[in-house]
Amino acid sequence: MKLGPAGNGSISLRCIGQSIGSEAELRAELHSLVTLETPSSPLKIQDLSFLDGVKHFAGPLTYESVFMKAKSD
Amino acid sequence: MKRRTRLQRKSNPVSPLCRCPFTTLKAGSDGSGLIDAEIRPRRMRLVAHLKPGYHFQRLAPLQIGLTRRGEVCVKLRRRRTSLPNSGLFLSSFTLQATVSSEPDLFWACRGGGGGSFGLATQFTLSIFPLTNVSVFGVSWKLSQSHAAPIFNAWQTWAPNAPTQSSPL
Repeated sequence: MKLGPAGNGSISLRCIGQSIGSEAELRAELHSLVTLETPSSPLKIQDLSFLDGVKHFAGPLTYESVFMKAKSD
Repeated sequence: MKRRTRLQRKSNPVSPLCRCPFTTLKAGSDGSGLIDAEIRPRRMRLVAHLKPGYHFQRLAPLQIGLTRRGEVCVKLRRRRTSLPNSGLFLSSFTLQATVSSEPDLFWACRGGGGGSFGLATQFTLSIFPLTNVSVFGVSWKLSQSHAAPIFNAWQTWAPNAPTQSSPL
């Protein structure tokens, strides 16, 4: 969930995530959430491959790759 | 197409992790045994994260994506950890951390502690095929009083969401 100011004292809320279950199961899980208040941007569910799901959250990989020294833990 | 249908049937139960096969890796393994024994026979292949020379000693967020049409994910089920009981490492004891046994240590081994809790001596992994993932998004612009119930509902659902769902 991402919270932020939306002007005029209101708050913007953005909920995102993913599921490997069926879309029906996901809709059922989110039903009580999306029926509390009318969303400004309605619930959108996309069926993507695993890697497309990675790209969906990573954003478009349009930046230039730069080699660097680093240590991953 | 038939293969995709079979994979889909496998990945649709309420908890996909219940049916997945297990495999065990000793510390220091480079994962080749896992690939030879579990991945190649299923005609799947590695696409990311696990590479030659990468050893299963300090895998922190242990979830490895593998794909061929469908995908395979590897999740940590158990980890045997040897903890020194003196500062000089004169002697040690071994713990088996799971969701139900030593859950704090298990949580730390999965990434909470950067893989620095003791010496991992063995990993038990579950492997399961994935077909697709459903990504979701929904937004609100609300007054504070109307936003609070949404926030509370999310905070109630997200930490207890079914294993198959990953709220972000």
